[in-house]
Amino acid sequence: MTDTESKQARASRLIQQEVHACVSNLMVTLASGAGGAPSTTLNTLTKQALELFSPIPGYDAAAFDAGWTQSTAGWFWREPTTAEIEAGTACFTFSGSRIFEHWTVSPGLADELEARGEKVDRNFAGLNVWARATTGQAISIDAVIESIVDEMYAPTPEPL
Amino acid sequence: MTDTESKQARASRLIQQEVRACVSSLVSTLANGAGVASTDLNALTEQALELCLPILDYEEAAYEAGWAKSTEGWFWRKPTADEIEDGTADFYFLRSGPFVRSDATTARDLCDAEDIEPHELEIFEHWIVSDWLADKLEAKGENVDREFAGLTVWARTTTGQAISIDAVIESIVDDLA
Repeated sequence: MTDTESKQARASRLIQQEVHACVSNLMVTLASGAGGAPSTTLNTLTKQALELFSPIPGYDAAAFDAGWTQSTAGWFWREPTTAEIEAGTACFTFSGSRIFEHWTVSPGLADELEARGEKVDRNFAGLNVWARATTGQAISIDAVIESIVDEMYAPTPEPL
Repeated sequence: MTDTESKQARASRLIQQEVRACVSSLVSTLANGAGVASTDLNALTEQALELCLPILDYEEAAYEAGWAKSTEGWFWRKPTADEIEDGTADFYFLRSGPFVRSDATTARDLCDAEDIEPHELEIFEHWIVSDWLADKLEAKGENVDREFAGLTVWARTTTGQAISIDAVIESIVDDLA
């Protein structure tokens, strides 16, 4: 088994254990009724659903698009890339991640996702709902999941 | 490992694999908000309300009223030793006939024919389950919504115990053996 296969197997197992059910349709239905419900509790829930559709602010990508890059000394004004020069792209655009899907996840995975800037509602009618910014691919190959798996299985440094 | 342990281990594995998440609070919130402006949400709140209605248990009601089922239909049964000891066996002597209802196929048919009120089983929890488990639960008379905003939701009539020791789950595990 190669390292890549092994990592994929770990990611798939993590998804199987920690991601429970897709609730995208539920979120769309709830968000469509935001503010119109006679029940206060349901009204709150529809607003929570709506909030779970708002894009995740991508500050790193936005800063890069605006002409900044990061070094150990801080942020500095960067030179444009060749591709940017060729494309003539305007830099000052919003680079947030659009939300495509919603999944109920375990509290442990919710912690890890939040720590990586993902949008998670920890109290959506008793559920942990993750607003996923990708679609059309296995969850196990999402960059954020690969990052979690990398950290979980990172070798422990040898003591000096 | 004893037979009981082995069965419990199988039931626990089944629950781990086929039961996804508890949505009791969600269903309750939706059921309380029935009558909202959005058509889709309105339909969903009504589905939620439906999932909170008690399940009618005709079989147990028929049994308690003095009936048991054989391959030929329902027949007037003898009281059990427990019923005789408890003093709840009087039902047996109160009937003049008929003592067999071969015209009743299901417990519901019998209850309708004999004017027996079904027992109401209260719903306590709601869980997202796999389609496979939903098939099995429905076959055992459980209330399942297969199209609850894309989810398969089971209305559970028990609470305060592991799902793996619910009678219906134990019965499904027995069938799998």
